[in-house]
Amino acid sequence: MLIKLFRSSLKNILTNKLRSVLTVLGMVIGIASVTIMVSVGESAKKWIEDSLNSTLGTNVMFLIPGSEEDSNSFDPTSFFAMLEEDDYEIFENETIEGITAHSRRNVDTQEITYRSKSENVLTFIHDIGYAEVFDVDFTSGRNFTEKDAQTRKKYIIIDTVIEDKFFPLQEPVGKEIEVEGKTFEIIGVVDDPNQDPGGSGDATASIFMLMDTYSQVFNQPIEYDVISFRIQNFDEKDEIEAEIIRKLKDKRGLAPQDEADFNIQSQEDFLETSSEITDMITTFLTVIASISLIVAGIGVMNIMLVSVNERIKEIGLRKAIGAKNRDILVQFMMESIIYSIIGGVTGLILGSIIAIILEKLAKLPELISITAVVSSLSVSVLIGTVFGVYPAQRAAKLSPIEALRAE
Amino acid sequence: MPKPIISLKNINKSYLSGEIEFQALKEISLEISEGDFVAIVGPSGSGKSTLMNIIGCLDRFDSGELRLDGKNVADMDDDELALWRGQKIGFVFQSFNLLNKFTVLENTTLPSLYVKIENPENKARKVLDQVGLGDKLKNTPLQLSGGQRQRVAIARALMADPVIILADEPTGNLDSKTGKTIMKLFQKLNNEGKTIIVITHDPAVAKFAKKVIKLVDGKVHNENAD
Repeated sequence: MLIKLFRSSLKNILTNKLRSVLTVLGMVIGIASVTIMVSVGESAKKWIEDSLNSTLGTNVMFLIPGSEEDSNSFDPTSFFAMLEEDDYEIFENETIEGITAHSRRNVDTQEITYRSKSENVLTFIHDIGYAEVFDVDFTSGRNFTEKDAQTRKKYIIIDTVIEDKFFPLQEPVGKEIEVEGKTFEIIGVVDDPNQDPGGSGDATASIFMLMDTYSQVFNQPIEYDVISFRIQNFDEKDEIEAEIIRKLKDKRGLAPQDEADFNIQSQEDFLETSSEITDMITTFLTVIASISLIVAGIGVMNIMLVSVNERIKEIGLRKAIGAKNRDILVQFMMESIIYSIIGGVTGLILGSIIAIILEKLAKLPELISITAVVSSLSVSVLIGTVFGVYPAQRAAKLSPIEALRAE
Repeated sequence: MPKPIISLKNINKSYLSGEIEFQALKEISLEISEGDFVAIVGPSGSGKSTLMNIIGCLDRFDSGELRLDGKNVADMDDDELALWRGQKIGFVFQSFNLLNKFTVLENTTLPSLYVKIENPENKARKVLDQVGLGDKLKNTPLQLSGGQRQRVAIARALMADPVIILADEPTGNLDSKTGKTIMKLFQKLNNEGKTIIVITHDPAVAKFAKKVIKLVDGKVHNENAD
């Protein structure tokens, strides 16, 4: 009985092709957008987690300017805040138990030139400990040494992106390259270190130089917005954090009970913040996409009402040959649910394809959210049911003689 | 005397038309026996359509008693009534009421959605043969002539083996020649034992019946055996 009804409903939908396509289109768009939003959102989140885990490890921590509250409030001014010039002294001149490496960091954009070929690159300005903190992988050459720092030798390290562009056939180590018109010698090549947490994920053309060298060669003040450091044991994280805070407060002349105007973040904190942001954006976009589902539902309801009106005589006939009110109700509910499921499944497939393409373009992990799949399908059935009930009830309640008499 | 398959006793039915109550049927009493071929005739407004709706269990009446195949239908609820008319009555309408998107075979099997019919496809082929459309199974109604469409409707009415066939102006949309062949088909079915009630305003159509019931102003005018 149900199978027969299903076939008869499907037939009705298939014979009204244009109308069915238009009705279903709303559902397709709605479900597709929800699928895309949720999938891309989840993919972005996974990418952030993966890249933070893989590039930083668990033992990297950051000392950054601004109170803890500031860094959680997304205040744009905290983006440009710098640490104080002598903050680094507590790392440089004193030993903090459990810290294995540390480095200041600042970023600049500079133009490099090699044999009439030029390119703008990111310059990472840091200290010798940088490579160790971020576990940088040298493909050739060497890291900076203590001596390089003292002599302010114009040495730089480049990444593999620059190597591929400027030295496709030769060994870059030992070559001289111009940075903003100053000649530097390349001493090492590192594999895309991706050291910028929450960055674009694309391999950026980057060069690396020591802070003192940079300051002297380009006549710039010593400035930096973060001190990164690696700790030996993750278990000691809290004690080390407390010791740094105590020392820095002391140095800055703050009483122990005063609120610190700097704070220490670990990779965990970054993860949390980034996840919060992506969750927020995903939720926001999903809510917007869901509105289209309501619109789609109204479309289904509208077409069902039209369909009931057109088929009043048919309903009368069906009742005359023995259909109970429930049979008519089921028939029309089935139609609206079929509309919704067809729309839901098509939307899901379309949304998944678009999500994969977007993820591919954005170099995110290619994934389809299981949540999206399950919720799309259940939401489409729900919409078919909710928006189908009223038209179906109208059909079921028609009196057979009135219905038969209708023109 | 064959047993009465339909008996009406003092049936009253009125409608509210705006503020005015209109008495469509007044104290109608009549009996139709198994194997009868009855024409209910009367001018428009005489109440014949109302009578047909009540006999067909499509409408309820205000007072009186209607027994259909021995059962008092007054105390049935909507669902029981639906099942009862599905099993006991085969409807044939003036405008055929076929589903144009469905084939002849599908139209004919339609009652099997609602009433239990053993092997509906075979049954449908059988009744379509009976009405002379055994070769049109895969056609849709729009590919058929008016007379052929009405035959499909008659085949559909025969699907559930009803005790009566109730035809409301079955020839109203057909030319007189085609109308005649349809009436002859009813005659044939009647000869095979079906009870048939035809509602018509056309005396030529009524001539095919064994018995004519004339309604005037909601009352049975006279009841003559031909």
